[in-house]
Order: sequence, then structure tokens, then C-alpha cells
Amino acid sequence: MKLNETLNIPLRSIDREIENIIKHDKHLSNSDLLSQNILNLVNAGGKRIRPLMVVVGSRFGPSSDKKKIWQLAAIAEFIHAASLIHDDIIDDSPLRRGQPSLHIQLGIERAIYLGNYMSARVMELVSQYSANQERYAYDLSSLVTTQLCLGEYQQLTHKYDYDITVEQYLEKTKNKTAGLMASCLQIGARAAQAPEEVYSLLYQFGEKLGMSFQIRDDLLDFIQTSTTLGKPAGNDLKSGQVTLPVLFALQDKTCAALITSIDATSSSEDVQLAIDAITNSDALAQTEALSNQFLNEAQQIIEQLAQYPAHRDLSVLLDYFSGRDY
Amino acid sequence: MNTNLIFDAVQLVQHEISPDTGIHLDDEQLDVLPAASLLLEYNLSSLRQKHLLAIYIVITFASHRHSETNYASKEELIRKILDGDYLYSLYIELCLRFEEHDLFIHLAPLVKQLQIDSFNGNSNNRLLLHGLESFLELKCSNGKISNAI
Repeated sequence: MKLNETLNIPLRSIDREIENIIKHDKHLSNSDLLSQNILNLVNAGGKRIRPLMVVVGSRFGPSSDKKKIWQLAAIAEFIHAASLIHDDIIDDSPLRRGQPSLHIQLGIERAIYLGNYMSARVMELVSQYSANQERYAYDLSSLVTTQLCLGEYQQLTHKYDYDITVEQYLEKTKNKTAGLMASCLQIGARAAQAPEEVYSLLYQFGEKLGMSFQIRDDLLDFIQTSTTLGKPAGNDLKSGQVTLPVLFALQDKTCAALITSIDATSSSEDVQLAIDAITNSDALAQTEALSNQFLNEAQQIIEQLAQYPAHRDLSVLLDYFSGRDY
Repeated sequence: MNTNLIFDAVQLVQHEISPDTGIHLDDEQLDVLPAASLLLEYNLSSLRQKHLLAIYIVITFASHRHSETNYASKEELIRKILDGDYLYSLYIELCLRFEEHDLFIHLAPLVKQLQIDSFNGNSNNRLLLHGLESFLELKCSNGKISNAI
């Protein structure tokens, strides 16, 4: 069963609202190249994890304005899709959801503006909601916070930087991945008028889930095959990303010598030697243990919210992020 | 007067920009003189003038970073994209922090229009300035300093 089915959330309702964001823009016509490209991107699918988290968050509040929640969920996905367009340029990714990435189709310059349009369109909607005294509207700005960009800068600045600390890595991960997931849950809860202690707990839950997810993603880069990953195993190390398995492996002197010799000019053989050393060390077990620690902390938050029937949905999310297939 | 205002606003923006980004405003030639002159025509507090110009500078600089299509290396391209993304986010944060909600509501459709025009290859450098002017006329026209004797 798919995640949205387990959570009993019809994706069609969210997708319809995503399309409405474009269709109701009076400055665009449906035949515009810009509109068409965004609609194609949206229709190419995706797991819609962020909107699902908005909806789950809303189940912790008394308000039952479903239309408003679908709109917020759609906005969360819209912002995520916008960020993917720029990410694909930065990461040189030729494909997105099985189709050529937008910068391949349109060129880099236009793809940048298309991503910008999507973010700016969301901010226009936020401004309209706020003009109508919808105070929750400004919560949406947390989805485009500068913190998200800082995670990217930190990643860029620390390429092949083997002096980075575990604390710095965790800070970057919080900025780049976990914060957005936490915000999605919190926005849904606040829009549904959940009490502050509840939406604060949901934020913490989302953050821990996001941390665990990203750490697990870093781990998979070493343990999955290139066929499963869709990119070469150990690609993060080759591209200069010093992830948590690498940081733990650096504590072993033999591994450290092999790892710190890797830079942008290293041969595939040298990179492979370092990858083998990492996979044969305790680093992967340590990484998995930290990922599980975040999941355990998330589980404890679920227990604090046990009086809400929706706490079961948090367990579903926890199972999903811990690697169960949906 | 307007050079003081520009200096103060640039200082403020630079202070708000995280050092992690490596963005240095004084490295760039920003065409903000018309906006500074415009703001001085209105009877606003010096703090508010500085806030409004700071927000204007951030949006202008974000747009400027994303419009530079020539880049020497992949890293330079990445930095330009990140700088623009960061600054577009910063403009929203500053609007909220300075409690310039009305300015945010007024500028949001214009910032969007800027992207549509750029996507279609029709960049309009005056759009933002005209937006600031219409905002001042709408919200601050009673406080306009008259040149009449």
C-alpha cells in the first residue's frame, strides 16, 4: 500500500490544488510555455511527502477547513518542486522523475527563472492570504527560509573538507532537510488551530524524522548498488560531500589516510579504495545507530501525543522514514 | 543625503546576510540611487527609509545575481543560483521582521512578474522601482515632502 493510501489522503485533491496555483494566476495563460512546463513537472508525479506531512499535521487541530489544508499542502509541494529545479542545475542532474530536467529542456537561465516564478507565485498567495488577515499565512514563509539556502552553502564550502565536525554536519542537515519537513507538519497543525505545545512537538518530531532520513540517505549511498541508487555507489565521496559515514570512518587512522587523499582529481580506483575501507569499518554501523537514535527520539514524541488519534499517522510516517516500503 | 541613506541601507543588508554565504554587497555596482532619491521625497522616519531601501536592495541584488548568465566555472554558477535564492528568501524575512507587511503584499506580485518577464526574455529593470513608487504613493502620499514654495 502506498504512503498516501495508508494515511488515507487522496493525492488527487492535492494535485488539483497544485494545478490551481498555476491556473488561477491571472498573469499567465494556460498555453504559456511557463505554465505548460510547470504542469508537466507536477503531472510527472512524486511521492508528495511534504504535502502529506501538512495534512497529517492538520489532524492535530480542531479546525476542519479541508480546502485550506489542501491549499497549504499544495503550496508545500510547489515550493519543493521549485527547489528541485535549482537543485538539478547545481547537481548536474540530467533527469527528474524520468524526464529530462528542466534546465536540459529549457536552458539554465530559463530554468532558474521558472523556479523563481514558482517561489514568487507562492509568496504572492501568501501575501493574498495575509491581506485577508489569515495569520497562518506567514508561517508559510518558513518554507522559503534562508536556513534552507545556508545548508546548501555549507555543503559547497565544505567540499572535500575532512576537518568538518559531526556537529557541523548535523547543523547542515538540519538546515537543508530536516527544517522543511518539520515546518510542513507545524504549518498544517497551526492552520488547523492546534495548541502551541502540540505544534511545537510536531516540529520536533519532523526535525528528528528529517535528520534520520538524511543520515539514512547518506548511508544508502555506500550500501546500495548503483542500479538501485540510479547513480554510482559512493558518489557523495567522489563529489566531495563529506557525509556522516565518512566522518565516522575518519576516526580510524587507516581509513583516514585513504579518505583524506581524495579530492576532485582522484582516480576512480583511489575513490573505490576509500569506499571499500569505509564499508569495511564500523562507520556504517555507527551511522545507522545515530539514524536509529533520531527515530527513537521521534518515537518518544509520538508517545507524548498519544491522546490524539492522529498520533497513529506519525507512526506511519516513522515506519516510512525508517525504510519500510510503501 | 541619499548617499548616506544608501550607505546605511547597504550596511544594514550586509549585517543581515549570513557570513556563511560569502555575499559582499560592496563588490557590486547596484543601481539604487533612484530608489534612495525617491524615498527621500517622502516624510518617512530615517529608520523606515533605511528599512525600505534595504528590502529594495535585497530584491535588486537577488535579481542581479540570477540574471548573470556568464560564469567562469560550475562553482561560480552554483554560487549565483544560491545567492539569488538566499536573497529572495531574505527579502521576505526582512519584510516580516521590519513589519513591512503592506510592502510585502504590494511587492509580491511584482517580484513574480519580474520572473515571468525574465523567463520570456523581457527583463524590465524599472518594474521594481515603479512598484516602490506606487507603494509610497498609496501608503505614504500624505507624508510627501512638497517642493512648492
